[in-house]
Amino acid sequence: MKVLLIDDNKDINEMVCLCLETQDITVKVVDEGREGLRSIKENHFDVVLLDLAMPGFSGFDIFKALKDEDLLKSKNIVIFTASSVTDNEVQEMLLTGAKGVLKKPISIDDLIETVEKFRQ
Amino acid sequence: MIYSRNSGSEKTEVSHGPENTTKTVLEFLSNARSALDICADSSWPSVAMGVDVYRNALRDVSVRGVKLRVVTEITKDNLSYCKEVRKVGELRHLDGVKGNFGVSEKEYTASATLEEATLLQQVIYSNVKEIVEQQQYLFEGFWNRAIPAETKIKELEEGIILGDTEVIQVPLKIQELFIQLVKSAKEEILLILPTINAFYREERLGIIRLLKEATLERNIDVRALTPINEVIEQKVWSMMALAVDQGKNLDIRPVHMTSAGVTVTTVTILVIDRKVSLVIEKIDDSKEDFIDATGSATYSNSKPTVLSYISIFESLWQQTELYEHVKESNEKLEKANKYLLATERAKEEFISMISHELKTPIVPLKGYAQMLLRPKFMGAVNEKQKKAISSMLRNIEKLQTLVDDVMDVYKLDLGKIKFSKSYTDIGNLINQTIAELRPLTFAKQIDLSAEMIANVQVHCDPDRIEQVLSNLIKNSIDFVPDKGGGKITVRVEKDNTNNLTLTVEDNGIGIKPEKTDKLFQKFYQIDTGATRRHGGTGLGLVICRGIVDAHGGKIWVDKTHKNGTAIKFTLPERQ
Repeated sequence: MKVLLIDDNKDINEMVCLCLETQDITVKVVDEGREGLRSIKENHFDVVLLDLAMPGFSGFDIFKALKDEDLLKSKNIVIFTASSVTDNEVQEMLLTGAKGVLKKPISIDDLIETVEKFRQ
Repeated sequence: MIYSRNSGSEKTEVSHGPENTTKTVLEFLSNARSALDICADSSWPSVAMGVDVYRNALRDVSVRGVKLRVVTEITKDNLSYCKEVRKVGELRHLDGVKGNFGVSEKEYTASATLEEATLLQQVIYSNVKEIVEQQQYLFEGFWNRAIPAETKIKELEEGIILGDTEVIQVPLKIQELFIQLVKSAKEEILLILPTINAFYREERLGIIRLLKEATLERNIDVRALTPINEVIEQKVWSMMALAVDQGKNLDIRPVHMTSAGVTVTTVTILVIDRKVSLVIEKIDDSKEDFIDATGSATYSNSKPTVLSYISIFESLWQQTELYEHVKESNEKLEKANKYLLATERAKEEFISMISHELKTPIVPLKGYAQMLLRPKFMGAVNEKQKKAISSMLRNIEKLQTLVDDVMDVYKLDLGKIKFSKSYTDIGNLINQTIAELRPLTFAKQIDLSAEMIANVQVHCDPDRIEQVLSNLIKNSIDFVPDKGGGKITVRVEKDNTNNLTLTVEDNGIGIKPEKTDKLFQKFYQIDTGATRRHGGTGLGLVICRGIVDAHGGKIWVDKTHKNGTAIKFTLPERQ
């Protein structure tokens, strides 16, 4: 299983990699927005974990770009955020095509459970 | 022919014929040394000033420094001659003066009918002391009863003689009077205009320009109240700006028709120098011309009448002051409000940012702590390490809860929490909550159970109500005895109005009665020492109250419950 993690926080990224790699999951980490969007479009991943609050081109921007290009159906995007889940924007994203939400700080069980849902 | 009777140098004689009369009169005039008084009817001025010989003689009298006093009846017809007379002496007016005589220090002359601008036909002359004194005395009487010439002249020139209060029916006369009064003002003009059209009409009449002149050129205080539209506002503003620039008092304020009584909206009110009032009635406001729009008018110089109009003006004026004041206050309030909203928004953004920032470092802390406790991720740890890491994880979770709680409290305060309410089976909700929390009861071997009516639907936000129950149960878990025997019960009761009451009760250490009131306030902890041990943040109950309040319910400590604590909250069936 291949997972793409787009997040600018190095510690979080290492922790998530450690967790998922023991589950026999390959994790690609991208820490910048535009590069993240490119990765989504150019490659196939079983699921993409998308951090929202990144400087410059943010997770919101990536999501909007994917929405504009009508890619949300074919790509499994899971929002990975510290914002409150009931936040308007997060709710809207869930309604318009995000496939799930992982609330920071995550429990590793939730992380594994959520990601495993997309294993083919 | 001269008839005379003499007694020494004193004589009284009559002259006849133009030659003789002229001679007598001229002599009389030239003999006057210091004072010369003339009392004559309205035909005299034209003779005195119209006939060269007499005119020159009177001029000469004045040049010689003789004090000339004349009493006559000033009329429209002799007005111009009277003005000439005023150049040579002091003139007064007396209605209906008949007879013509002049008296100096020692001499007296008199004549009969005078014909306009012709030489006198007959003249009486006397220098008899008694006669002269008598005539001087008579003259003083006339002089004292007469009024100054200016008054009469003004009346004549300005055309209208008015009594105390007079109703004028002729629009043309009203128009003339209006203009005349404004022009005649000396100290103050007060004006109320009833409608926008009235402003335009009176502007066309030149009234507005006259007001401007009055203030700029004659330093008169002008105050006016008028309805305004954008155009009028512009004109008024530029006039006032000009006046202010020159340090003059011109103050024109908008009158808001809603504040004025019905009567005031149909009349123009003018008050001059606080002495004279003119109230002009409109009969057809749609007319462009003043005369066409005007009905009748009431003029008054009666003090009580004028005062009553002044008070109408002043009370409307006060209202404009009030209105301005209110407007200003409103503007200040709006500004303050905008500032407050901005500050609120800033606070909200700040709290959002802080909570976001706080949650981020907790991610690796929690993740690694959890993984360390499970060998498959990073290998096994020894007992000591396990204990340490468990403690770390516990505290990390507390930190997480605190961050969530702070955000909740803040949002509840602002009323910003969105509740998504739906019909929820309360039984299921309670069971679910208990199931999730059961693991926490193992350490102390607590009996956690529910007593309720099945199948009760209540309209609420299930996640938030679960949050309340969870908070209360966790509190009970903290306060029941450590070594077994602890019992927590969740109860649901329904009253006859379909409102639910939920109770979470325990047999723990309980709460002292005097402390129960403050329980649901922010940061209040029952007993800081004990609660620190138990790990409360002081926010849980506050959040519970916020959520219950938002559902229209009440939350309180049941004081009737002995041996432990019972917290009850209601959920109205409908909100």
